[in-house]
Amino acid sequence: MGVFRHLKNGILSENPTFRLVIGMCPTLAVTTSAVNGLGMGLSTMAVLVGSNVALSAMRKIVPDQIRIPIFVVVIASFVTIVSMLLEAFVPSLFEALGIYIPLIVVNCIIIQRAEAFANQNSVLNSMADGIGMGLGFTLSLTVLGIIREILGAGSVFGISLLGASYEPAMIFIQPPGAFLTLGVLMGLVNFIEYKCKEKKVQAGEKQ
Amino acid sequence: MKEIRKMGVLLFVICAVAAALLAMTNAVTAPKIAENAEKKEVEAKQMVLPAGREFQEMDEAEMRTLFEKADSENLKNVIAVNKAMADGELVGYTIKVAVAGFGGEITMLVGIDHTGKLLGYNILSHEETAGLGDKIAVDPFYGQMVGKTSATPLSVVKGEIKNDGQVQAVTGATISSKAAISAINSAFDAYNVLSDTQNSEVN
Repeated sequence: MGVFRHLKNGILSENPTFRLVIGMCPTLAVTTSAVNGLGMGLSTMAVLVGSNVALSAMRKIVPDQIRIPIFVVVIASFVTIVSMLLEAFVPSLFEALGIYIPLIVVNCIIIQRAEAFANQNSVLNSMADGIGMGLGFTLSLTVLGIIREILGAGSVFGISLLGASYEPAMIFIQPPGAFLTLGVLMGLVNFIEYKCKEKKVQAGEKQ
Repeated sequence: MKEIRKMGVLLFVICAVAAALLAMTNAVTAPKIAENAEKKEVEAKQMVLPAGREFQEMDEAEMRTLFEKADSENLKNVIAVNKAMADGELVGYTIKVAVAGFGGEITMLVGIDHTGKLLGYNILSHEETAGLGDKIAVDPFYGQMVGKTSATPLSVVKGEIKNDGQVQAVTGATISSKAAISAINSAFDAYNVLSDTQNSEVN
């Protein structure tokens, strides 16, 4: 598989949020606004790319028996570094993301990619996989954040869209709104994919 | 045995490298983080007391003995007091209070100038219902409070306002409103004790 395919893989066919349905905890919790979703996505991507590259580079010297502790050390280090950098240089985002930054350590996307991909593939491919998965996660979180922010606060990225006369549907920035939005979006993604497949099958039959 | 030793050494080396990287990042970011925290503290205080340039925190033991003499239930809500100074003169106090709200504890910072006028407050943490109780932080509720003085304790009403000390509650959030008022009243009480002490010291 080429580098490009790994990139595409994470965004579309194995999108962590809508296809693999992993990393749900931060997905549901931080997508109250577009900025939070984007910030969480990018932080996770930074950690994911770093840990994928590091672990893939080490895959030949890491004995199978102790791979999990090594994964955890490497991932936790990257998370701590990202968290310190955010706190120092983007304090507002650091505050908004709160507890979910340290929790990137246990985000199953990262350990899943380490175990399922980086541990068996070359550094370049692992980097592509990290970027692809990271982009997929960022994209899903940002879309969720945008929808929830529009419905729940009447704005996007903090810019008021619907004006003062719009009475925000508060439920969308509260926890139930996360489930509602995610459920509808996931259904939509499945529907589109189903339609695409149907078309392909029809096209096949005609030939 | 040899295998185990090899793995142990490898794990040690990886942890050591990780620790070194973390130490390096920490060295770069720690001063910046401390600076941010300090700036945020001063900014939070200036939000409720814009005239203040420097804020001096009162010693907690000193504060408690002072408050004990006054013997008021309200004063137990006061967590910390800062004297706000500008050009060496006292311009007011920022008083941090914690009260029980509807969902949990509400902590707020109250700014009172040297004449006893409420300049503003800032809710530092709360667990009030989003969209209802958390409206105690914004207008029209907030706007009613600004300018009230420590001479008249405040009370909450649901209907029309009949006198100066009354404040209209947030619709559907009477408990949160009452909590906010009790926090302000606590700060007023603290201010009264502090200004009495200040005056007797001057005399």
